Order: sequence, then C-alpha cells, then structure tokens
Amino acid sequence: MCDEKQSATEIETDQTNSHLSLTDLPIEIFLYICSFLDASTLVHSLSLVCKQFYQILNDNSLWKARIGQIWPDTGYPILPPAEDDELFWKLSCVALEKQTSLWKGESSMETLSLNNVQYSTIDSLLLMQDGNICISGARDRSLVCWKLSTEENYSENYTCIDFAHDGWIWDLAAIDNTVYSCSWDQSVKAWTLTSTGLVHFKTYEMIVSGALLCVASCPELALFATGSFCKTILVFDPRLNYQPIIKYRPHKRAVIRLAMSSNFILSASEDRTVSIWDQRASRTMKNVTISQESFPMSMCMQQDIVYVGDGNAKLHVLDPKKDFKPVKCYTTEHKKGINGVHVAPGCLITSSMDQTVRISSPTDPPQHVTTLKSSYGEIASTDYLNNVLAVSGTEGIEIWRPKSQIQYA
Amino acid sequence: MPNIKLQSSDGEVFEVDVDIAKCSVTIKTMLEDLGMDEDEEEVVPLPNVNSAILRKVIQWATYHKDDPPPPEDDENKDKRTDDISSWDADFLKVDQGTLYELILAANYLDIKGLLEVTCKTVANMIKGKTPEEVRKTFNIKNDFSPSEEEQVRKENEWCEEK
Repeated sequence: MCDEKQSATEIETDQTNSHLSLTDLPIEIFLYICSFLDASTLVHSLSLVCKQFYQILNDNSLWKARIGQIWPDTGYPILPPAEDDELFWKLSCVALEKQTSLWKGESSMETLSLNNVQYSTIDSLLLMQDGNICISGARDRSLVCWKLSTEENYSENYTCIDFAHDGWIWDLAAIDNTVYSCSWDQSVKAWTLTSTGLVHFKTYEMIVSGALLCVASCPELALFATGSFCKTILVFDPRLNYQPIIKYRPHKRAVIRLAMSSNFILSASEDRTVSIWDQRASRTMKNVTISQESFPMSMCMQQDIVYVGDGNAKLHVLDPKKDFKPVKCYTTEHKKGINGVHVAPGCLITSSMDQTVRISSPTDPPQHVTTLKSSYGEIASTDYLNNVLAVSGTEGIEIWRPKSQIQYA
Repeated sequence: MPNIKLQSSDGEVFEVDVDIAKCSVTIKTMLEDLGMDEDEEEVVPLPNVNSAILRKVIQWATYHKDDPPPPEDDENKDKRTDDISSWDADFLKVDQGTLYELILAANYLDIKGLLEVTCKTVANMIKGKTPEEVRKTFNIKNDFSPSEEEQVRKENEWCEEK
C-alpha cells in the first residue's frame, strides 16, 4: 500500500535511466543473492514478498542443494520420511541452518547453572512449558521445580519437595501439566505443575518388587508406562484407578529405559535387547538385539526413525518401516556409554558417561558440530525441548539455551 | 603497459590497460580465443554494457587490479556479507537501477569479485526486513491475494514450529 512513496526516496543519479528492478534479474543471479541469506530469511521474508519469489524459493532442488552445502558428503535424512511432505526439504534446511549456527556460533547460546539445592546425583530431568520449567529428581529423594529466567522474570527461582519419594528418584515423564516420577521405592507419584511448583495428588504403589528404573508417557493417548528392575513393564491410564491396564515381561533382565508413541512402547534392557510392544495389537512384536557386547542405555523414538545409544558409545538406528530392524550403526567419539539421545529438527544430541554432550548433524553419517563438557561430573540425565538443553550430574544442572529466538517465528 | 579499446553498447570507446581488462574472464577468453595481438588497434565490442556502467566497471577493476585472484569456486565457504570494504561500499552508493546494471554487467563480463560484492550489497538490503519492508525497499507489488498470503504465511509458520 505504500508502493508509490518509494520513488521519492530513491537516489536518482545522472548515470543511468535504468528502471531495472530486483524482480527483473535472471533467476541464477537472484539465487546467487539468496545464497548470501539464511534459510529463515528466505522462508519467512523473501518468499512472502511476491508470487515470483515464492515460486522460485518453493523448489525442492534449491533446498536439497543448500543442505548438501551445509553437510557435504553426507546423506540427509538418515532414513526417508514415511509421508510425502511437500515442505520437508524447506523445513529441514531452515532447521539445519538454525541449529548449526546456534551451536557453532560462540555467542548465540547462554548457559545457566542450577545448583546448591540438591546434594546428590540428579538422575532425572524433565523440561516443560517450552523449556521455561525444569523438573529434577535426585538420589537425595528431593524433587525440584526450577523456573528459568525469562524476559519478564530475570532471576531463576525454584521450589523443592524434600522427601518426594522414599528412595532415589530415577526418571520423570509428563502428560500435559502432570508430572510422573518413578523411584527405587517402587512407586510412581503424580504431581500437578502449578504456578507455585509441584503438588502431589496421586501415588501408584506398584504390585511388583524391585525398583522402578524408568517412566515414559504418551500424551496423545494419555497413558504412561514404567519399567522395573524385575523385568516388568506396567502401563497405566491415569483416568482409571490405580491398577495397570497392561502388564508384560518382555525381558530377561532389568528394564532401564522406555520410549512411548501412540503405536508402540519400546523398552531397553540389560539383556541387550530393545523390545517392541504393539499398543493396538496389545502384544510384543519382537525383541531386537542391539549389540553382543553391550546393552542399550538410551533411546529416542520418532515416527520414522529410532535412535538407540549403547554402553560401547555406539549409536544404532532402527527403521520402524522395516519392523524396527537395525539399519545403521555409528561409532561415536564418546569414550563411554551413551546414556542420553535426543533428536530435534536440525540436530542430534548424545550425552555420555564420559562427561560430554556431543551435538551432531542428523545426517548419514552424523557430523560433529560441537562438544559440551559437563560441569557436574558424570552426566546422569539430559533433556531437550524447544532448543533448550538440560544436563545434570552430581549436585547441579546446566542449561544451554539460545539467547534469542528467530525473528519472524 | 599495453592498452586495449573497449566499446560500449552506445558506441563510446574506452582505452584500458590490458591487465585491468583481463579481470573480466569474458574479455580475457575473447582475447585468447581470437588470438588478438595486444599491439593491434582492435576494438572489443561489449554490446551488453552501456557507457555509464562500463565506466563504473573500469573504475572498480582499476581499483582492484592488484587484488589476489579470487579463490576457486568454493560452495561451502562462509557466506558472510559483513566483509564489504569501505571503498566498495562507497562505490556502490548508487541507485538500485545502477546496482542491478552493475550486477548484470559483472555477470556478463564474468568479473567474480564485482558480482559477489554487488550481490552481497543486495542481500544486505534484504536482511532483517519483514516482507512488507522488502516490498517497500525494492518497490515490489504484493501480488498475493489476502487469502493466498495467509496460506503461505501459515505454511511457513508451521515450518518454523516443526
């Protein structure tokens, strides 16, 4: 609507009477100009200027080429997406560029240290509310709700429940604003996240003997599951009573990690297998042996791909489209077992007992972006949400988060 | 130093040091392919460049004649745009029409350094602007209907959230 005003502000020189416009430049020159702009600017600004720019920038070969330039000599994605998604390449390119520049840029991330509250190893972490809330459970049986500083609220504050359980708090999961904590005391407790911290409202005393080592949730189905030292997995529907709706025993040894989607429950065990439970058929599909040498310690399940980290610092990829067959195995630079794996659009995060977190590209093979060193010794837990990374060790938590989010988001 | 004569589209003839003219790969190739003797009084016609633009191009090439040769095309190098020298920045304080003519001339004459710095200048004019600001800066008409614009915007917002 202000188009007419423009000519008045232009500096007219006597050198030329040209009325050339940016829209008149040949496409290869326009694309060369675009090569100096980040993908986010192209998607959120230039594409919206006019149909001509939109059409030029809507070409998948352009985005594929850019991805090839960010991570040359690799394959992207590691496994093809299940559904044909028109925006897949554009989306991927923006995410890859954003994550690469966030983690490579020396001043784009800020770190926060949360300490002096829990005086033991912090084995469980959970980020909530876009990464503005961090819940941590420790061996000293305390459960802490940290409110991270925001633009409106400059300082961190926390509320602490000293004796949340009668044993080590080993894992955390959430459905909406309800947090589930599992413990060596053989119970899962449900807590409501309120503006003043966590409020206890329900305790699931387990009918199994043995510590509960993991808990996972599926917010879409409003179900949660917990896995125990005595090999049993229990699935609960919090809308019903305290009894599990499913109880199964797919492993020969302790269940140490769970991952849940609306179709499957994956369990990692010291018996060196990952077991796949089909929720619709209500049966175990199969057990996949991850490695002969070590056991699976961490998992990340997405619709099209599952990552499993093992005790030998290897990262395995299972393909859900091929009945969860292990299709890739990468040797990482970690020196000890991978006890945390998180995948976001644009980056792959692995944490290890070697006290480091490695940020890599989600490419075949993954390429190193940066390495973070834990300030609190051996890493006990990690969580990642909305570009925010939380890493805990002994007595403290470190948070990495972007100083500013993308402009036109 | 031997000179060479370049003729612009509007007939003006410029006498230029051969070494300076050869920063244009197009002219360099032309001289080599045609086996033009540097002593000959031959005029090289440049039908795609007018005299105003050719004068600027020669001015740029003269200033940059001692620059090291540009590195081989490296697609993976850092695409930064904050490294434009102050001389180039001053040189490119021209109206947009002239800037695009320079880009087209640099492209036709195959002068990598000039093409790069002019395109970076345009990129800098786009950086950090909203779509509406880009339209204003470049005098581009919004030819999306409101519903189309909304659809593209939604699609791209979703793209950021995923």
